[in-house]
Amino acid sequence: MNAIETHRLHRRFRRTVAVKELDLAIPPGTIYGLIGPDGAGKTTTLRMLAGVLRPTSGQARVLGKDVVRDPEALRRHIGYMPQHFSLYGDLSVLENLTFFAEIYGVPRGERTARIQRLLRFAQLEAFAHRPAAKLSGGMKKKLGLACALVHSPQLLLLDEPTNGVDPVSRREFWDILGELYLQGVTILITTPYMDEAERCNQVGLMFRGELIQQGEPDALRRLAPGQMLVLYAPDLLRVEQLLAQFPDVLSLQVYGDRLHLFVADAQASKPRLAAFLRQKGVAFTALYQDEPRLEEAFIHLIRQARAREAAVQA
Amino acid sequence: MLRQILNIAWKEFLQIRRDRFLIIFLILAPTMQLVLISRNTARGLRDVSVAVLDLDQSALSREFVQELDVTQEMVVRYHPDTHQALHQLLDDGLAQVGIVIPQGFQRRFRSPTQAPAQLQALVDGANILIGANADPVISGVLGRLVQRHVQLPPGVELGGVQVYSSALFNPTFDIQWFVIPSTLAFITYQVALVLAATGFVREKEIGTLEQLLITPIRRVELITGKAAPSVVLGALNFLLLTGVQTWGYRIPIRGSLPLLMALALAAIVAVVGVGTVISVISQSQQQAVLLVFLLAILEVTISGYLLPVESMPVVMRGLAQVSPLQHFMTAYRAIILQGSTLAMLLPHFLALLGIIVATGALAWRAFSRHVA
Repeated sequence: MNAIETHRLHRRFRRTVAVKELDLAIPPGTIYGLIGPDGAGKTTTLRMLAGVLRPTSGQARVLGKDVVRDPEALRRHIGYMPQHFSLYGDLSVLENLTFFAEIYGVPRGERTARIQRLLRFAQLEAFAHRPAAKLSGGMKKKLGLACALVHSPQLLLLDEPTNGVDPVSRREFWDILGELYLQGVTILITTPYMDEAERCNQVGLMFRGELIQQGEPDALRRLAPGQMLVLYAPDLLRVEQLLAQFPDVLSLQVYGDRLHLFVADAQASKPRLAAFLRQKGVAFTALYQDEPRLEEAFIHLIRQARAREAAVQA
Repeated sequence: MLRQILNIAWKEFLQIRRDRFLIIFLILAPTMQLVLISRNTARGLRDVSVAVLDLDQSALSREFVQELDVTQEMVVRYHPDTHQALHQLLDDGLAQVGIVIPQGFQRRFRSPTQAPAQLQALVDGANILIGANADPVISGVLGRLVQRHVQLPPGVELGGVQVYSSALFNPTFDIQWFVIPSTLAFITYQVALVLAATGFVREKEIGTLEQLLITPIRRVELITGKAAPSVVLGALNFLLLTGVQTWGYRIPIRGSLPLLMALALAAIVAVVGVGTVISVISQSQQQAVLLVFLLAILEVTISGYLLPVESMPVVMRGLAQVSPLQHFMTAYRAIILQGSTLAMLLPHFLALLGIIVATGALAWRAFSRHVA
């Protein structure tokens, strides 16, 4: 049995379709990363799976329970951290954890031991008596996660939990998720960070309410068109304009101070591109082949989807 | 069920304990309000500035001015010499009341058979409170002069009918006995309403409501748990104010104390019910406070505080029937001043119970829709 299974799950807000006939099947013990641009429907999906938002149509079974018919029974077994997760800032770390432990009905005998374990786990022991409002951003997120874990859920739904958190805290956060994964907890996480998506077992790409691609990160990465060349040049804008017409180039993406060029055969195209740029009198400092990452594949897939949509409209 | 309600309520108390401003709001502010409002509204006119143009310059006119000056209500500050100067004082707002004592005041006073003695009083009509209250004060002073100076033959009394009135329930007809209990009821109402109205929406604003919704807690438990602390705090506030009223102002409680407590509890729960509905439908604390403000103005108008309910137009009288403040205030005054019993006040109790049930149902429905 899958931990999460949806069948044509659909949600409309007035005229806007937020999630469109979504079919998801996530086996237990998976870290599943849901990625996609803003407004793709990730949060709506998570809220429906948590039983907070009623689907317009379709079914969703989470841990074998129907989210519409049995949301209260379901809630005892899942931990959900909403995007704008908030704690009671005027309560201390310990009081926040105790409050959620009580609400979830954690037996009194187990409570103290479990809270101590979570504090250790989230490295918050030293801050147990600090008001939550006075924690750093990263610590707040870890406390939020600890609160969502206080009833030892089998499934965790995390909505952009590391958004706006510094890289070190993000890494610590993911270390915790790694431990949970080893304990067999199923995790569904949305994230805007591609390096985080690469840490998942499975990644689903959502766009305009639909799941347009799904698979292991490695498989998705290979969906980038052809091979990738990286080019550094002082006048990046001009290079981009010139190369956009160049026959070998399938697609190009500006990436900070460099240009990612996608070509069918990197080794064959490299000298041709270099010659072309020299002939045009444009300087460049480096040109080499590199492995495309998930990010490039992601941008490519989104562009493809946008182009398809534009074609349908036209 | 009860355990979850207590969980929520306990958390609320922890939060309230940390909130110094709220504690001040709950204890200091209501007491201060009660003292200030009753100090200022419960004593009628006081030290109104008077200008007297004395054209008679007689012993009697001077005596009149002196008598007027020693009243609590008025102070004779100015003694202009001309009509023009008197009007100037009134125009400039330095005097609120101007009195002209015409020539011949003393002569006519002594021999009323000719033409009666006259006085002219000019009152600042812009302030209706002074206008309406100055007249009886001046007449009172004149009355005392008459009693003192007009010798009547034995057996003959002045005037045809001597009106002898005595106020029931309030022997000295002390306006404080009306104003303080009414103010107390209003402050109790206001505090409970604000507490309840900001409770839910605060969780909505900081985002913890979403977090609570995915816990196994049920809506009824959440609503009750959030409302309970407002009721407890509202009740404590009520006890504090009633203490100030009883021992500070020596206003007696003539009726049954348990009945009074039952009334206060019913009223506070009803008000918290109204506040909870406001809190559930509001999107921000600001919205909630504005709604409270709007409602409070309306409720004061129809509560009988400014105007007896019986004197209101039909529509207002109808509204007064669903106003928790009106039922609370009326029944509260009846218990402490008139010693009314439950049987006499049953309609008020039933109305309050009705409001509790209705607002509870409304809050639950509005909340369910919020989650949909």
